[in-house]
Amino acid sequence: MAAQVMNNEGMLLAVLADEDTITGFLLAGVGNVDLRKKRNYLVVDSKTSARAIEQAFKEFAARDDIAVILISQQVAGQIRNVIEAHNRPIPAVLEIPSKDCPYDPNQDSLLTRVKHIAGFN
Amino acid sequence: MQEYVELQGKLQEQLKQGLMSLARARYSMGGRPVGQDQYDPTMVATTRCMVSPGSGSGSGPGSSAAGPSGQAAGKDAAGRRSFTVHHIAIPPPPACAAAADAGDGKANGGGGAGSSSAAAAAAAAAAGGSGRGAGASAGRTKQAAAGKAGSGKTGGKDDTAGLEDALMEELDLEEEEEEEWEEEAELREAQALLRRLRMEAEAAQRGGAAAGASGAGADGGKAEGAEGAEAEAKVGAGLQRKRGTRRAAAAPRDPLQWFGVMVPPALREAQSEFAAVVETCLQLATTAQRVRPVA
Repeated sequence: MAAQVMNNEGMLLAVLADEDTITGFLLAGVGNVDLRKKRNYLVVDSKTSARAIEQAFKEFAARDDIAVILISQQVAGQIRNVIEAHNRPIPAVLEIPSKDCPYDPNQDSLLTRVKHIAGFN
Repeated sequence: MQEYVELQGKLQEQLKQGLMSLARARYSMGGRPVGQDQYDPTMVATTRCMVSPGSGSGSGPGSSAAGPSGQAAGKDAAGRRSFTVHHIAIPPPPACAAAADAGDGKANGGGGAGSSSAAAAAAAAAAGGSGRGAGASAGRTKQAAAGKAGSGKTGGKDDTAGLEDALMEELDLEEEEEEEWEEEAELREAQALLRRLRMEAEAAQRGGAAAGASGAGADGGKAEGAEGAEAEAKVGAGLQRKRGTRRAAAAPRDPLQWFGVMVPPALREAQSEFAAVVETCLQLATTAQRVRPVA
């Protein structure tokens, strides 16, 4: 496993966001389609079902060549339970602001988790 | 934790700027769309990330070789990992390769051309295969021809493209340059060869319907001829060359090229802004690792 990652010269970043954000990330060189036509991004629009998003997220989380999953807050809200169930450090899940809504720390699952722990102390 | 929120604010700013540049670029590109239809189906990531473990942890599944950018990052507390950006250089394509790619791009863009490229690719595979073993290649050609003659045109193309891509992995980049030059010269011979191969495959399989379609297809676009030229070159010189040109398509290309040859400066700005966004994201991920409870 570790050897495989080393050969690749680095691990990938996965992105689940709206089309424009993904276009931007792909411009930056983040996008990858491997031999099995597996992509490391998912364009989420108004027609995408929560189930599809959930499935994509689980797939990314299961892959061993993805180090970080970037997910826009809007999309994260749709699969909040799956994100909170994700416990492993790799791949790391990071919420990024959506195109339309500004970043809201109250929604970020990472911060809410920390607040729980800090708050009850 | 304060750091995390600050970084998030910074990320938001950068993201906003990036999206603005993208919108500006879209506006200045007028009619040409900028969206997921333009994505390259064979894209390869050039921006990856190295995960380096903190001082305490052993060889976790995420640890990687110390890349050039990895050193700065590994100073965290024991057990925590840090993420750094690692860029893979994009090999600058020779001028001919760019033209060939543009040609390929046009062929792929045209709907009708798709099936012909599949046949061309299959024929190329067949031609290459004849050097090795007629059975396998003939099987592939037939399969491709059948796929083409049937309704699943795109399916066939994907299969052969997938096969090609898989083959290419073993290849040398150096071959590609010689190949480009020879391409032009052998264009016509290649087309004739293609037609012959198609006829043979079809005669073996069915009647004239496919032949008619392939004939029309062959005339349809020069780029297919270019691919046929590859086939020719390969038969002449061995498998290596053909795979070389295909390799050019699979080697990492600048994503800016997906949107045309002359891209508006706003798009370039968007690209650099999003590169900054990626950096910030990885810093955030590193910070998040510190903030989160140890897992």
